[in-house]
Formats: sequence, C-alpha cells, structure tokens
Amino acid sequence: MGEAARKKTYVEDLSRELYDQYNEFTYSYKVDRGLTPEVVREISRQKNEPSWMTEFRLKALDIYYQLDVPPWGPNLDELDIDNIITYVKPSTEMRYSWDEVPEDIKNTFVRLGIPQAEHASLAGVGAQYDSEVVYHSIKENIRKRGVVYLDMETALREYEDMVREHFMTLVPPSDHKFVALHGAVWSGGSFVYVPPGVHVDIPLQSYFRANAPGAGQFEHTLIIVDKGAYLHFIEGCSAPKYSVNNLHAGCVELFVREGARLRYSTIENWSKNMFNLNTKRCLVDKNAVIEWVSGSFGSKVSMLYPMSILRGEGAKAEFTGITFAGEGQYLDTGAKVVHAAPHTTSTINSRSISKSGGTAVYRGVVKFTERAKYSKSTVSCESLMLDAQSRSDTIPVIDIATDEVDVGHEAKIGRISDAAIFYLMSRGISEDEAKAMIVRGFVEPIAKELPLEYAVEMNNLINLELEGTIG
Amino acid sequence: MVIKEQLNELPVKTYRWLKVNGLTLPEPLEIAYQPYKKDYLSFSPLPGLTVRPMPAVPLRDRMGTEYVPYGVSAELAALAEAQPNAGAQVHVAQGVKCPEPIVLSYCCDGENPVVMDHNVVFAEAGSRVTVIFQYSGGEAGAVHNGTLKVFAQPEAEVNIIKIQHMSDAVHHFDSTAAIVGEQARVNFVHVELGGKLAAMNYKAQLSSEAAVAITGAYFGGDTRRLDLNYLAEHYGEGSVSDITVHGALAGEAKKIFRGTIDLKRGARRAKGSELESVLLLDDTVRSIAVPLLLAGEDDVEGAHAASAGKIDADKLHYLMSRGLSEQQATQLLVEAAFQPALDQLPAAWQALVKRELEWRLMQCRTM
Amino acid sequence: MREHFLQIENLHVSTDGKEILKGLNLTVGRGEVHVIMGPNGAGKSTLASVLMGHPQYEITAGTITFCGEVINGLRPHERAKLGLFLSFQYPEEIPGITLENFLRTAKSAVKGTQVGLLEFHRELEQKMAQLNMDAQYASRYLNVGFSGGEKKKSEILQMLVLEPKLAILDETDSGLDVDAVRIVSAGVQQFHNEDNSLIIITHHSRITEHLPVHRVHILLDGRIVESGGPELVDEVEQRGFAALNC
Repeated sequence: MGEAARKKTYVEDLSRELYDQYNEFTYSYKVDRGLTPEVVREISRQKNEPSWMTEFRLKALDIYYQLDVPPWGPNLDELDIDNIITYVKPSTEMRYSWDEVPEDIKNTFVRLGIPQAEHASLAGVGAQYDSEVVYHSIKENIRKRGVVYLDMETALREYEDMVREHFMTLVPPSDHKFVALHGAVWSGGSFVYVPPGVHVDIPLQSYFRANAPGAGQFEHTLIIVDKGAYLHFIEGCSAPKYSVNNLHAGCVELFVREGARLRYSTIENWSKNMFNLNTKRCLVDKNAVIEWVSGSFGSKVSMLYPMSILRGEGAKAEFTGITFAGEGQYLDTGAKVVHAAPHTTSTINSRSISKSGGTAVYRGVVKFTERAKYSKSTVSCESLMLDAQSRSDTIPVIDIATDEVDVGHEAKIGRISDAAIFYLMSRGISEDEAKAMIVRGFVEPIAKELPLEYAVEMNNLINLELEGTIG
Repeated sequence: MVIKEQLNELPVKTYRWLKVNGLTLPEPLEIAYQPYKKDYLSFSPLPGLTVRPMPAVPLRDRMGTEYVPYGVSAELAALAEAQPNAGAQVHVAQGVKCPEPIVLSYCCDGENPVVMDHNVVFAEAGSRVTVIFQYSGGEAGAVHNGTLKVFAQPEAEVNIIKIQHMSDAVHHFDSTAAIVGEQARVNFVHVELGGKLAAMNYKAQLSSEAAVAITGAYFGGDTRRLDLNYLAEHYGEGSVSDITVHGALAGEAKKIFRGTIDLKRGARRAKGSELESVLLLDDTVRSIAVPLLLAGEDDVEGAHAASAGKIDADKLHYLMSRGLSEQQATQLLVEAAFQPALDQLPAAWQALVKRELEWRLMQCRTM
Repeated sequence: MREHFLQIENLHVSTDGKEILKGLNLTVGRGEVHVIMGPNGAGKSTLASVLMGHPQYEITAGTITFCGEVINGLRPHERAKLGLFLSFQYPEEIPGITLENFLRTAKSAVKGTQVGLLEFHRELEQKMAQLNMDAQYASRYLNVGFSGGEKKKSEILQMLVLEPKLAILDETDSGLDVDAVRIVSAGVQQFHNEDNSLIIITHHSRITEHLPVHRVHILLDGRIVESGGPELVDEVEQRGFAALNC
C-alpha cells in the first residue's frame, strides 16, 4: 500500500497506479458489487480532486440511477447496465496482452501505415507510446503564446476556477443516462484554452497526450476558444481503438467566444465491439463559428449527435459528416442545431454508407426559437446503400417558432447507379474499382475537410471496408 | 368514450425533448355517440356501382387475412368503426369506371354536433371511382371522427378528395388506410382549413407497381392546431409514392407534419418522394416537420425536401406594383401554395375552397 | 482487303423481353470511318451500348468479333482494354472525382501501367487546348454541372487521351453549336489515322464533313437495311428515311 500512497506528478503514472489500486480493491471487495457512492468517492480521492468535484460526481451518480435508458434509437440490451462497474473498474482477468488483441485489429495498423511503436498503445496494451518526445516541440510553441493544453485532471488542479465555471454546464448530468454516468466516473481527457486573438496555426491533436491503458472510455474534453481566436482540434485517429471494456461514454464541451472560430475534427474508428455513446456540444457566441468534421467508422453501436447552440447574434455552425456502417454495426449519428439568436446560420452536410447488413441512421434536429429571426439553415443528407441487406434511415426534425427564417432540408437514399458503373467500366476501370471510385467520390466533400493525412487514411479505411463485400 | 391515447405517433421515435413523437391531447376528450340526422350522400346510379349508407352489412372489410392497424389512434379508429353514425360503403364492380363522383357532405350544427363516419371504398380490378368528402360547420364541442378504408384491387384507380372547412371550435380526427393492389393507383387530395385541432392520418400499403399520390393543402390561423401524419409503406417492387403538402400558417397557429416513406426490403425499384413547404405569415406561428425516410432495400430511390419561410419579398413587391394591396397579394400567394391540391378538384369545389381560404385569411390578418 | 477490326454477324439483342436488334450485320476495317444513321428507336444507341457490353442488353444470337477475338462475353472494362471506346450520348455525372484524376486512372487501367502525374497533366493540358476546353474543367468533378456541349467535349477529350483502336461516337454532334461542332470534328479528325477506326452514329452530316467516310449504313427496325458510300448521307438528309426503299 505504500506504493499507492506515493504521490505522482504525471497523469499517466497516476492512472496506472489507479489501475493497480483498483486491482487491489477488487481483491478485497465482492465481485458483484455495483457502482456505489463509495466507489465514486474513491475515484475522486485517488485523483486528489477538490471537494466540489467529488460532490458533483455524487450528484451525477444520483441522477444516473433516476434516468432511464433512451427508448428510441439502437438496441442497447447488450450493454450490461446492471454491471456498469465492470466498465469502470476492469477486473484483473481483463488485463490483456498484445497476444490477445484480435488479428484483424493488428492487421489494420499495418495496412494503415501506423508506425510500429504506436501499435501497442493504440491497442491499449502494454507499454505506452511516449508522445512527450515527438510532440514536445509543438507543445512548446503553443505554450509560449499562452495556449493551455493539458489533460483534464491536471487542468482541474491548475485551472480550477476556469474548469469549475464550465465543467458540465453545457452538458449537464441530467441530459441523459450516459452523461450522468460520465459525470460520476469521468476520467482523463483534454483541456484547451486559447487566449483572445491567438490563432493556433497547427491543429492540436488529442493524441498528443499519452493514452493510458484502459483509459479513453469516459474522457472529458473541455475547450474554450476566447474572443477572436482560432483553433483546429483533432480528436481520435483512424486506427481502430481496441478495448476489452466496450463502453465509451465520453463528453465534449466546446465554448466558442465572440468572433472566435473552432474547427473540431473527429475520426472515430472504435473497434467493432464498442458501444460509442458520446455527447458533444458547442456553445457559439456572437459572430463566432463552429465547424464540425466527423467521420464515424467503427463501433458496434454509436449514438452521436454533435449539438451546436447558436446563442449569439451572427453565430454560425457547420457540420460535415460521414458515417460508414458495415456488418454488425448500427450507427445512429447526426447533428443538432438550435438557433437562439438573430442572423444565425447553420449548414449540415451528412453522408452515410451502409453495407453488409449494417444500419446507418441520420438523426437530427434544426430548431429555431422565437429569437432566431433572419436566420438560415440548410440541411443535406445523402445515403448510399451498397446492398439489400443493409438499412438506411433518415429521421430529421425541423422546428420553427418564428417567421423570418429560411429553411431548406433535403435527403436522398439510393444505391450506386448501374449507369454510372457502366460509364466508368467503359473507360477500362474494373467493376470493383468503379464502385470504390464512386464511393470515394461520395465521401469526397468530407474527405476534403480533413487534414491531408486523415483524408488519406480515411480513403484507406474505405478501401478496407469495401474489400469485404465487393466481388 | 374518453380519448386518452397518444395520437399520430411517429413510426420511428426520436429525441423526447423535442416532443414530436406523438400528440397528447391537452385534456382528455369525451366523445359520446349521437345520431347524425341529416342527409349526406349523393351519387349518380350506375350499373356495377353499389353505394350503401353506413351502418350497412359489412362487405368484405378486409383484404387478405391480416387486419392493417391504422388511424390517428387505435382508439379513435376503433370507435368510428364500431359505432358509426354516418358514412358509406362503396363497391365498384370489375372494370366499371364511374364518371361522376360520389359525394358525402356533412355539416355539423347544434342538433348534430357529432359526425362519426366510417367509410369503405372497394374498387374491383380495373375499376375507377372518385369519392368526395366534405366536412363543415360545427359549434363549440362538436367532434368529427372519421375513418376511411380504401381497397384498390389490381389496376383500379381510386380518387379520394377530402375538403374540411369546419369551424375553429371543432375537434377533427380523420383516419384513412389504403391497401393498394398491383398496378393500382390511389390519389388522395385533402384540404384542411378548420378545426381547433385537426389531426389527420393517412396510411398506404403499396403492392408491386402500385402508385399513391398524396396532395395536401392547409391553412392555420388564430390558435389552431394541425397534426398531419402520412405513411407510405412500400412492399411491392416498382411501387411509387409521392407526398406533396403545402400550407400557410398565421397568428399563433401550430402545425406538425409527419411524413414517412418506408421502403421495405424486397421493394426493388420502388420510388418514394416527399415535398413539404410552409409559408410563415406571422412571427408567432410554430411549424414542425418530421420527414422520415426509411430504407431496407438498396435498389430504391427515396427523396424528401422540406422548406419553410416567409412570403418571398420580391414576389410580394411584384404583385403590389401591379396594384394589389398587401392583403390581396398575400391571398394570391397563399392560394398559389394551394394550387397543386386545387388543380385536382372539380371546378365547383375549387371555387368553394378559394372562398373559404379567402375569408379565413381575412379573419387572421389585422391590417 | 483491309484487316477486319470489327465484325458483327447476325446480332440479335433483347432487353426487358423485347427484341431490339434483329439480325444486324456490320464489318468495319482498320482505318475506316463508318456512319450509321436511322430514325429514333431504330436501335442505334442499343448497338452502341451492346458493343460496349452494357449488362442491360442480352445477346440472344450472333457474334461480335474485335481484332479476331469474339467479345460477346467480355465486360465493359475488358473491352476498353482491348481498345474499344464509346462516346456516350448522355454522359454520366460522377461527383467527387475530378476529370483529371479519373482520366489518369482510366489511362493507367487501359494501358496496363501507371501513368505519371506530371507527364499526364501536360498531355491533358495540351489535349484540352486542342479542343478549346477551359483548363479549369480538369479540376471539376467529372461532368457535374457541365452543359450538354461541354459534356460532349469531355467525351471527345477522353477519347483523345485513351487513344482507342475503335471509337463509337453516339450522336456526339447533337447539342453542340456550330463552333463546337467544328472544334469537335477537328479533334476527331486529328484522332483518326490509318490504324484506328470510327463508327459515327448521327442524324446529320456536319461531323462527317471533313472525315474520309468509307461506308454509310441505314439502321432501321433493328437491322442494317442499306449501305452505301458517303453520298448516302446527303440523300437521307434531303429525302428522309421513308424515301429509301428498304
């Protein structure tokens, strides 16, 4: 126990220690003990959190037990709700090694060209990939300009007031059951603060922080872009993230102040056993802009609807997303926008592909309050189905409570036209390649929004995904 | 009977905080049976055409062996089917084409505050028939709860026109189900101009090469509530559906449009399209649209488009520059929204709808 | 006798249970230019589609031989690799793929070796200039938003880049204004030499004006009913199809 009591300075060590600590706990607790206030208090104590955070976690736990699992959307029966604790505190048997990582995951790393050194870390096993060395110079550069980029737990200590002012105010624990869970057991994540007027010219990546094994399930991202500043933040990477614990209930809160601009790109490629129930929300002030770029490829079940609240006059939200649902996947994704101020604009461009029995659902809402005069919204959803085993549903809602608005919404569902395939084949391109070309062309509007290496990786991902059925 | 169930539920539910999954009555509604004592049916006799006022001896009320659930709510549909006080059963023999429409015209008043009509239209193979329903009148407390089942056998064509211009004190519930056989066609045109609460539910099941065209036009003013729910279920290959709904809202009116195109697995080459647009005439209106597109089959074409906005300022200006007042210009433009529906009505009915629309618009505008 | 490039013997083609080509015969030699004319619905576009292997059409009898090989069972891309090319009457719009990227991929596929980026870019630029096509079309999505005339130019551009042995032009001159027809004709002339052949399906004589037309065929009701020299084109233009005794 002496080891555990030793105070550590690096988060990653703290997490690992926590991990070890938990192992010691499971040794002394009964195996079927549920998620209790004691466990939550222990998590908070291990992290050395201020008492208000401990109280917050306990309140969230309370709310968690009062809320029900949403009765709409994908079936979450396979999620072992009665044993949520197993997702929070992995037991010793779940300690895994590189040998146990599924072959197809390992192969994907190779196919995607991920450096050997990163494989183990991405698989969530063994030695951590030390990002400090590689990305150190980038972090120095931004630090000099006053940009704060820390992991959430350090930020809670070093920027307590700012964190307290914002933490889970945009996404309160009462929002839905998995957010309440998040509020109780959140761990890790990124905190970014960009001072007024600062234009961060290289994208910050969540990957810059070292990933602790088993972490990433309940991480909290809090980003504040102050007046007139600019930031491009990239979350995730195209390599599949494998985890034995298959629930991801993360939370992302973004605050874009007056005149500022934030670009938030995500490629999510969770392994195919994951339940990805992420909640992302952005508050946009006067004349500020949020650009969401989102690629959803993995997970068994995803429920993901980045929400933009346009509360300042002239605020703008743009959402560009692609969802690819393959065999055994049910990806329920979309975007939500609330226009709550005059002269606000939103554009949603969502594309989905479903194949081999996968289900892709676009679910969204564009809501105009009475204060949203002179506002405009354009929504375009296109779904491509590659075979008759798959499903594609579009479930949008347009809610308008004033008259001076301009709203357009259109959606299309269909398959790759035979005429288009014939045309490409008549130029010497094989059928498989023609289909792949058309699919790549279909996702191109999203691909071009991503930083180049992600676009390349995304195309590789698509090729990998398509290889399954075609031919 | 007290109506308690949720009305017009969405076939696929979504976020609860939006409150669009169904319509809950603000307070439970009691519907008590009362006879409807007026004449309502008129048609020209024709060999092969049988029209019997309800309640009549039930005539093959089902197609196949399965009962298709339908209606604004199961409660409401069951009530009208079990205890109708009006309605008609129409049977058209094979190959018979009726040149004249069958008209059912209802007008609620103090003596007849309830219209509960259950109607069945059975069109045998290759036949053609048009049925026009008119609902008007109604003092406070009046209720219309109607049901219609259409069975269109292969290659039959059935045209249903429903014109509702009841008073703003009435509860109006209208449920329709159409079972459309192979290569048959059902055209459904409806105009909603009245009612404190007007809830309409139309469901069509399409066999192979079947076609369904739905044209709707509505105007909501004052504190009216409109809840329009359309569902086209494509079971058959090559089936085609087209839903076009245009309307205008003024005052504190609130409308929700729920349109679902459901392309089932196996419905190869099916095509479904939905177009909904609304003119927002005051900043106190509330317009909600839920255009659903569901597909379990890849060899299909599904599309929907929804738009909303104020009257085009350029168009308004153009009309006014030709001497029309803003009121007159607005009237004209709202009428233009009704055109797709008007085009499908016989001339006399077009004139009626235009008149009704005009005086309702005038009522709403405080110039 | 010139080497037979294309030999079609007793070709019967059906689609959706309906027979469209009813025993068509045609021989095209290396270096020759053949014109096919006929009223709408005669089967001209069907012939073009069948030659390119469109899966919607079923060959119920007869053979198509190209350079000595029977190609009935070959798929469209295999025929392209053998040197067949079709300029579509209604070219498809393919969003998300630029004209340049697409053509480079197609050229690599047809040639069988990877074509270099820079070298191809230069070739494309030069050929676009030849057709008086604005260079910016190279970076536009394939045919998306192109006018009818621009789509036809895009087809001819593809032909010039892919350098086929036998090019079938399906009503390439329809929808083009006078200047465009002249430019496209010039492009087609430039392309044609003694080693490749052309089958031009058309209603008018404009595109064939400066080409050494070898033979003109009248396609009527799924069969070639009359063949003759270049003068047949003017005869049809003046007197119509009904006037010919078929």
